[in-house]
Amino acid sequence: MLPSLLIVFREVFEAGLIVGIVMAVTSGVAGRGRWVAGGVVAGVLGACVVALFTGGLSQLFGGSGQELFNACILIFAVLMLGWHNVWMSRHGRELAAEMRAAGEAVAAGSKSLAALALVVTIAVLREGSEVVLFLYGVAAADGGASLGMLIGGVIGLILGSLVCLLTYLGLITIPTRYLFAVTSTLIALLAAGMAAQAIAFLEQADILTAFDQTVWDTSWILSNESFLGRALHTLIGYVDQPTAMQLIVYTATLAVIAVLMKLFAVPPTPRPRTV
Amino acid sequence: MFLLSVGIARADETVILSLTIKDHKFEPAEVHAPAGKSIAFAVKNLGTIASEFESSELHVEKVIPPGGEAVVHVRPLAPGRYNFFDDFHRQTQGFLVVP
Repeated sequence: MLPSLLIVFREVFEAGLIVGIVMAVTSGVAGRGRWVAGGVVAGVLGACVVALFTGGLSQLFGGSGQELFNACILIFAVLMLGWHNVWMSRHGRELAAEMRAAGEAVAAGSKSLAALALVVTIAVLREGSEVVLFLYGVAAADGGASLGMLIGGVIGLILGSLVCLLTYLGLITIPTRYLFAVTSTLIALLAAGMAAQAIAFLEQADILTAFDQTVWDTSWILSNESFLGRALHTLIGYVDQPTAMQLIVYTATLAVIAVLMKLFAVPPTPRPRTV
Repeated sequence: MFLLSVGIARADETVILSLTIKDHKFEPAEVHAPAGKSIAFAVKNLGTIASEFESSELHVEKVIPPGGEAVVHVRPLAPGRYNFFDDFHRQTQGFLVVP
């Protein structure tokens, strides 16, 4: 039961961190629960489809289908996250003002919610496809151990969902005046981490080989394998032995998002000067 | 000219390590490769359920459906003993020894 619990917990926990952040980022926006829930459901369905077609997918592109698929959906998520940040830098102030005035949830417009819902779908789909494949294998295996394994999987799912809830509850305690800065930073780091992850998949498939020198080794301080290492991997893109290309893309993603946010930001209305 | 020779040299230098997974065991369970060369694992899943070939130390993860084969590329390594495993069945472990 324990191996099953651990595997399912690990995957759900990684997706749960992202869902928790998205829920916190969109708090105060009308209808966001439906959008996020829709994203999760789409992700679960997508995970089943991906699991079903793993064999065919793996053989595409000379055996690199899986890595290319993962890299592409991660890059798409990066674009969605970047777009959200840029959109918020333009509309965030008016949105916050509306929320203060209305004292209740306001409509942000479905476009920004759709972008984040897609990020949720991608996160759930990536982690979920492994869970589906694993549980299917467990169910297909002979012996009474299967039931224990399935129960372990359900417990792992519940515990992983708890991580999502705790992330959300933790984030919404942040006072509103800091919330925009904190969530923008979280989203930018999430995006940079995913971009670097996409690079790692392309390196694994030998599609991208430039600058593959290992820049540092902090595995003795914090290993990728540990729970804290995995949490930081999801949240800020921590890797114990990054390649130069991963670092370049990580930094470039942060830089591009920052520049675009500045470019599209609404300039503050000048305060009237008093004599 | 220099860039061209680097490109050609790289393609020739990939060391390919072939493994199979059967009955929840890697065969062979220990493989060797020289330091400083690009490495590719060619893993064939002879089992009836999916495996995930993964290694934190080698920075690879790939699902291999039953009866399928996967190739993963690893960056050139320093000498050491690197662990890899089947993430769907952790007891299935193997080692890459780089002398």
